[in-house]
Amino acid sequence: MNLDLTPLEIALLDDAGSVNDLSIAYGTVQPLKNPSDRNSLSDLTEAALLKLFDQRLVMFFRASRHEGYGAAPSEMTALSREEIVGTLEADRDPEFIPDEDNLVFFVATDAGREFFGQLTSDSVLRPSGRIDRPWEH
Amino acid sequence: MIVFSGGTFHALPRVTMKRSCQSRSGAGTTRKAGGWMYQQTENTGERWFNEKLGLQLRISISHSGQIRLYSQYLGESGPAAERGRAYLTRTWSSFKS
Repeated sequence: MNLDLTPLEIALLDDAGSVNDLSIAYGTVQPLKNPSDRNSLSDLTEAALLKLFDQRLVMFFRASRHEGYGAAPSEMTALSREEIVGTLEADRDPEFIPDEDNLVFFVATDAGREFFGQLTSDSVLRPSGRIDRPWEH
Repeated sequence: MIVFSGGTFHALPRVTMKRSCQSRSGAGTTRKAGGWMYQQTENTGERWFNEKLGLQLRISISHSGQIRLYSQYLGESGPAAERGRAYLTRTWSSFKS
């Protein structure tokens, strides 16, 4: 499989090795790209996640916070592209409060795992530490 | 602010992990007063939360095999939610070998 992924997209695919909620994706993008405002963070995250989705490397599903992290992806109903976009767009509103019983999670597909297995370890970026968002200070 | 601090690892006879996470109250927030949260686990994919502190800690394994600890405030999600992460240098499989 020969896909043209950016380092940011590869980092998000690395995140998708386990089930994660969307906040983890934002937390990966922030230190790698240092967006200057919240909208930029949303733009970058949305574009990268949708590219992974369009390449069928990750899937998204809804579940409660209690159930989502431990869910078996094969047993979950995959969200459509429209549903994913709708969720990411809703996240842009600072006043939006996600339903803890209906959060969106993402995880790699079999194709995503296969693709990641072909990568060399030095191609994977690993942001770490506290996530600093200057517009919140 | 969430701060990761410390952490101990024991390879034998079981994998044990301890990390702490501190929450501090901030102006205009509903976050709880400061304190430390300690957890240990023998399994990946676990998460723990502390209602008193309003914090969630979660352990996750990436594709590359890294052990990752994530912290966030309970009740927050989206762009503002995830506040701290630590990527451990040892992989989960290295504890088992």
